Amino acid sequence: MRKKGIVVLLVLLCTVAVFASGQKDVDSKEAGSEPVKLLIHNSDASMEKSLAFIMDHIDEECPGVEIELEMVTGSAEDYETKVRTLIAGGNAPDVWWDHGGTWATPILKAEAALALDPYLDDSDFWDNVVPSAKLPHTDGHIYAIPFENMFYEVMFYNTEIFEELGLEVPVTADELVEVVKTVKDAGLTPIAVAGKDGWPAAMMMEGFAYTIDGEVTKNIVESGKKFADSSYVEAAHFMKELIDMGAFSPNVSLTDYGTALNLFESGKAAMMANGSWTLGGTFKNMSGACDYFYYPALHEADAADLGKAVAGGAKKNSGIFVSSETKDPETAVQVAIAVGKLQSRYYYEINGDLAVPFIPEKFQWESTVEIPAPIQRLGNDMANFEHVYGLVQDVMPTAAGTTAVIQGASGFMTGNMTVDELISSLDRALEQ
Amino acid sequence: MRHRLIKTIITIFLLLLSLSFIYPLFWLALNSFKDTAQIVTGGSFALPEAMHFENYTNALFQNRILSYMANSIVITVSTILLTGLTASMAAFALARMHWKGKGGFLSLFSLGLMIPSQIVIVPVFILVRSIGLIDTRLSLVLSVSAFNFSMTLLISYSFLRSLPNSIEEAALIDGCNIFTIFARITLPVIKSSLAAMSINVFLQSWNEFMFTLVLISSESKKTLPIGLLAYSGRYGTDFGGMFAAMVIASFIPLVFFLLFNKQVEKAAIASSMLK
Amino acid sequence: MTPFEKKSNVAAFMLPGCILFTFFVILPLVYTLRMGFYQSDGLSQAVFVGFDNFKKLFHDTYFFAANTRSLKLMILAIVFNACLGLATAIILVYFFKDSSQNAFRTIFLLPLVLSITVISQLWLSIYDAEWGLLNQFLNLIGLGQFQTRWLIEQETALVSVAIVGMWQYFGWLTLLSYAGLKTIPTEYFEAASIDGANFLTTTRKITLPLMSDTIKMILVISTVGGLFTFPQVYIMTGGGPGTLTQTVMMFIYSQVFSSQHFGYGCAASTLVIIEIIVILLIIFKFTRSEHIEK
Repeated sequence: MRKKGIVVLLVLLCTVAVFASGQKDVDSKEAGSEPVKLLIHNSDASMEKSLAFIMDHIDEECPGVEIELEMVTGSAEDYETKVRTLIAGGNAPDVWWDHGGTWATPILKAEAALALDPYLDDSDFWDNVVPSAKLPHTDGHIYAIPFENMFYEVMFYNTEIFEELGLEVPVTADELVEVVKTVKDAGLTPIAVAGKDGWPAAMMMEGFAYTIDGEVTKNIVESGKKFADSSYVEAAHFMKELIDMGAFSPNVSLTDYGTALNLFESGKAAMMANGSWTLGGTFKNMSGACDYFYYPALHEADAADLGKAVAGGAKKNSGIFVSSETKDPETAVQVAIAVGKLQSRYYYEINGDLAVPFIPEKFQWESTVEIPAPIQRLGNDMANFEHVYGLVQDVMPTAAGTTAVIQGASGFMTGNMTVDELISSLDRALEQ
Repeated sequence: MRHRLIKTIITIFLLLLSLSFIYPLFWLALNSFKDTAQIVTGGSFALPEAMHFENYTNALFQNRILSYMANSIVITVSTILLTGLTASMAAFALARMHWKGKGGFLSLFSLGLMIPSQIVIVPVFILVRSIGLIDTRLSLVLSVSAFNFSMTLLISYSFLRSLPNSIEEAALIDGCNIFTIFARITLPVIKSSLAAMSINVFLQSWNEFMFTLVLISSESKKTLPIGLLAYSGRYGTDFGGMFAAMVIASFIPLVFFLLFNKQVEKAAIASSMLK
Repeated sequence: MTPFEKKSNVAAFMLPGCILFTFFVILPLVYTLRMGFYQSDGLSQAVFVGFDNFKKLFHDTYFFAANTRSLKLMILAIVFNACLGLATAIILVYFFKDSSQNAFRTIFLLPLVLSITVISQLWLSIYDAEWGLLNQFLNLIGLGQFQTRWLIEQETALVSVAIVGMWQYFGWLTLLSYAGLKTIPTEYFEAASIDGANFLTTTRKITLPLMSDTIKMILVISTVGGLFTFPQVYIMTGGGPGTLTQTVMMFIYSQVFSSQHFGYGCAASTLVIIEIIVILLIIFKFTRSEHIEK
């Protein structure tokens, strides 16, 4: 008898849960006739906050348009897989965020994305964004509304930890090794990096390679140079040295980006190999105890030139896409522009980020925070960058190449892979 | 004497093995009351420094664990019913009816035993989309049922073949129609083998991963395996919360299992009776 | 003509299953086999390339490595799930009272109802190189020198993945073996004990031959389960670090979805389908011969 009672109770509980969740669906569907479907990658906690901001304000930009937002968790690779599967099944979202690079290639090839320039050129759109955001595809068309801020690969560091341990910002590799040793002796993880996602590790290696040759990635991708003949070899040797001396946590090759960021923000790690896209948010989360430095020079002679060659910048074909299948392209483009613009506004107003693609002055946005010092500095530095080129994982010629870079870097972080093995796997990726 | 020694050794071995099944679950429950800081600083064997019940309230009220679980239950039960019905009907036609081409169908269906469902994910997606079932619970029920159809059918078929069909023949003489015979006579007879196969279908459906990943996009229709994944991904560093979510997700199935443990065993035994 | 012979009745009973099976298994399968001969990124027009994909596969070291890993997982599953499960069931029945048998079986069955995501996350935490349960346990019992990064080191990663599958399915296979055992009439054992046969002889001469159908079933379950290991790898390591735990299913997934080599992934699927059919036929042949002996 008691058994039956428990069973009935459990069944009841489940039924309630199903109906409770089912109810909400019905509500949202009744409101508008054809909502615009918007798909966004929930890449980290800050993306969730900015999307909440965007959804709160989107009515100001496109009044009366109903938007059905779906946020997808998981790695960037999984997200892009989902986007492509939806397109292949003829079920593409009207508007979506695409990370671009090789991930967008098949989408553009299949003509699944709407060329936006006919819509943009007639409006005042180009007056409101920074000139460097205008990056047409090889066919001359524009497919993406800029969404992410411009970013550069740098090392974040915890200013409080550095102060406590009496550390100076390293400018050469040898100094970095000393810093790592001191931090390690203090019982902290010296450098946080997302080895599981792979690309942050690749990014870090690229950062060191850039200190020797600022055009190394460009030459590899565009002029057919091999990784084996480039400064990547030396960079990999230095990475190996860092791995062997325990600069990373033991679990680094199974650490994903969100966890790595949290390790750094919570003060468990003193430094992090990161892109400057989170600089504003991280600065805020750490109550100002965060700053950045450029990758220390592998050769002491190059130390004077630090911060002249930096990987990053605006990414081609990355941002908010509109489906070529959408029923109402006018509205969809309007939504796409609104999402991109509000993302800039969020970065500028809430995080005080300056490297946003939409120009704040044009819209009289007012930052609610004082512009964080590191962001101010980065803004000034940007004028002095001499060599800027996309991140290695974004500019590989094919998706298979991107996957190989990710896998290679992730495998290398285990410490069980030799430099030769890594470099030859990267060179093989180029041939794919 | 030797017998007793062997028994002691075996008992110790089995007790250790049991510990490896129970302790991780206990550890899971223990961690769900700790905060992240205590979990990651080690001390797996220590009791929580303070009871962090907010792990549970967060998981329950800020997330959709219950909704994920309800979806999982609804989809699993529907899948079991659909698979059982279609498979037993086909088994009836193959084992009891007289027609040509049975052999062909049987070997065709045994193909289904060997095909891992993940391999055909994209064509299935295109199909589901073209019949307008994308992002519905039904799409999962249909695809998972289809991949479990073969196993259930073949077991039911061989079970039915091992029984004489005299009762069915007699019922026919009494003037029953064929649907009544199937429902009133055949189904009750193969009930036990169906029950055993249901456990197998349960395992497949309860843990279905890839189809849900691509077929379902609404948060409100996600099942446990995918829903929990998102939970731990988004809150990747709130380990206490993650463990609490895992405990909640495991609690109801565990209670059900402990209540119906005997029936599970009986069903398994029944399935072995068939040759 | 009796209702058992009427074509319309046959059709009525066969149709629901056939429709389901045709649309969700046969058609997708045919599509997959066909796509193996095309080059496609899954979105644009596919180009027919004949056997090119297959030729490339035979020279693809990553495919071979992934396939080897899956075969190893399969062997581990057969040995530790099927064989150990069977042995445990026999030993339980022979040595223990009903109540303790039940207790053990129930405990082993516990993981069965947990969601695969829960199981994978749990083991990911157990294996954690910094605060995982396993390393701390080793430390506690004085075997600290065996601590390692379980899912990261070459020597342990694959076995660690295999253990997760074993943990999940061990109880189920034990139960299935137990169920098979229960179908053997007790007279056989009584006769054997009168003849003075000991435990090992009884097992070899009576128990195992009479359980050949059960053995076949648990072999099939553990073979398929081991060879097609996917969700736990996907959740725990994503096939990494690098390609350290990339099973053949992960390889196909990564080819089709990450690298956008859709046709190539389909060709790999075709090879794997052939592989599993061959393996299952071998198992069927092997267990059938045992069947006749009895």
